[in-house]
Amino acid sequence: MIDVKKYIESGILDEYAAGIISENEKKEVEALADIYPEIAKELNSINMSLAAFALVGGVEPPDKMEEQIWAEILNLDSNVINLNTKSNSKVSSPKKINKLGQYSAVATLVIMIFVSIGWAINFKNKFDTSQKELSNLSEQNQKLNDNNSELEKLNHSYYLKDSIFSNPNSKLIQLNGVKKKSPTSKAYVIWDKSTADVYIDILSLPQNPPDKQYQLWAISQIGRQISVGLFDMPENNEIIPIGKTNESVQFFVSLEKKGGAKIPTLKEKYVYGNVDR
Amino acid sequence: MQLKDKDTSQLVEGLIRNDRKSYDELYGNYSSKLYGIALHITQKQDIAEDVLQETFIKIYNNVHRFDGSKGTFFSWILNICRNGAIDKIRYGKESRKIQFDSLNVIISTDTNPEIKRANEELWEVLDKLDDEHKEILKLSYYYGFTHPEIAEKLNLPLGSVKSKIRIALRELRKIYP
Repeated sequence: MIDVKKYIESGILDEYAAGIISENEKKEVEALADIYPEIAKELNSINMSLAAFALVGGVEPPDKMEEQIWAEILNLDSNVINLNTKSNSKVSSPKKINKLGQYSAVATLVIMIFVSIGWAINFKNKFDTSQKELSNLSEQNQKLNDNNSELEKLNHSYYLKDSIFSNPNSKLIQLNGVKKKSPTSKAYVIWDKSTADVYIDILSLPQNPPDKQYQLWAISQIGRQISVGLFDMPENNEIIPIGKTNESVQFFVSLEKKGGAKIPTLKEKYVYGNVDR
Repeated sequence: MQLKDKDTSQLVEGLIRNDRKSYDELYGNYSSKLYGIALHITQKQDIAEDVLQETFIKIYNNVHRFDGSKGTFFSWILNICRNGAIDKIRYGKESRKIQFDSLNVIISTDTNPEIKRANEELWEVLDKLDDEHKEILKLSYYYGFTHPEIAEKLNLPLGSVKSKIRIALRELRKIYP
């Protein structure tokens, strides 16, 4: 049992409303607001004041912005049928919307099946190749008894593939090319949620210039863009360990200056894919 | 004009269904406020446009996670916009060090009349607060300085900064009850 009055007077609710407290403190405030109606009421009151404060000085954005935003959203998710129709055009009847929804669901299912089959074939090919090459490499290693570092590196890569694909905690996210930038590009992100490890398997991406690197980003639940790691186009068909992330609703890859950027350059976004909700 | 609670919950339901009409309503009701706050924080039209676009994309990606019991929809989208704008000026390639001295006057480096008008409106409201609270609120709420950063710059104990922010917000709540 906490002293609600003291808690409110501590100022933490103001800090919560201003969005400047740590993630743990945020969770604590939310949990206590669920338990104590006085805290919830106070929080709401602060939010209302800040919202009123924010209304001051509203500025109409340039006309181009509205269409630009919809284009970007549709680019993110071209399967969103409802968003394709502007509301001031003729509105479909509810029945038609439902039917469209059904078509959309069927279409999505079919796409998912093809994607799964495609990935399964890709996986099997890679797995078979891995197994064969692993076996070859082992034989060569035995014969030559050579500590060739290049071979060791390859060997490690094949073991890595094997262990990633056979891991039940691995989640596979397909990243498709951004239409305006690189429509034929494609990659898979493999995310092991139990360890937070993230790998990328590139099927098609342009070669990065020497002064630039690709950067993989995760979008967190609250919309923050988190850098997962950097990579160059691999010489071999290998899966690259990128880094770790504990949360993501979407992954995307952008081309940034060598060494990476603190925030992504959206105009240089090449591939993206949503994590299943 | 802000929407009433009932309208807001209908709006959120529409957004979750990816209903274009709801997205048009969202844009119509909130874009100028969000763009205004992005301009206040970044003071640059092109960066504010990026912030506005990213805010709508984040809303699209996360609207199903909005929880009405944790605050209003407007405060939720406002925080997304505000945090995005602060990230741009703190970490982006356009990052700039905000000079404390410059905050006592209307920032005049940008001659865009819209930004000037928005700044003037903001200042008009802040002028209703006394100087001490005005400064603290500007730094913490509009410019995203953390409490320890404000304490260091203003040479005040951290506890004092926190208590001044609390009082400033309460004063603000008298203006906007």
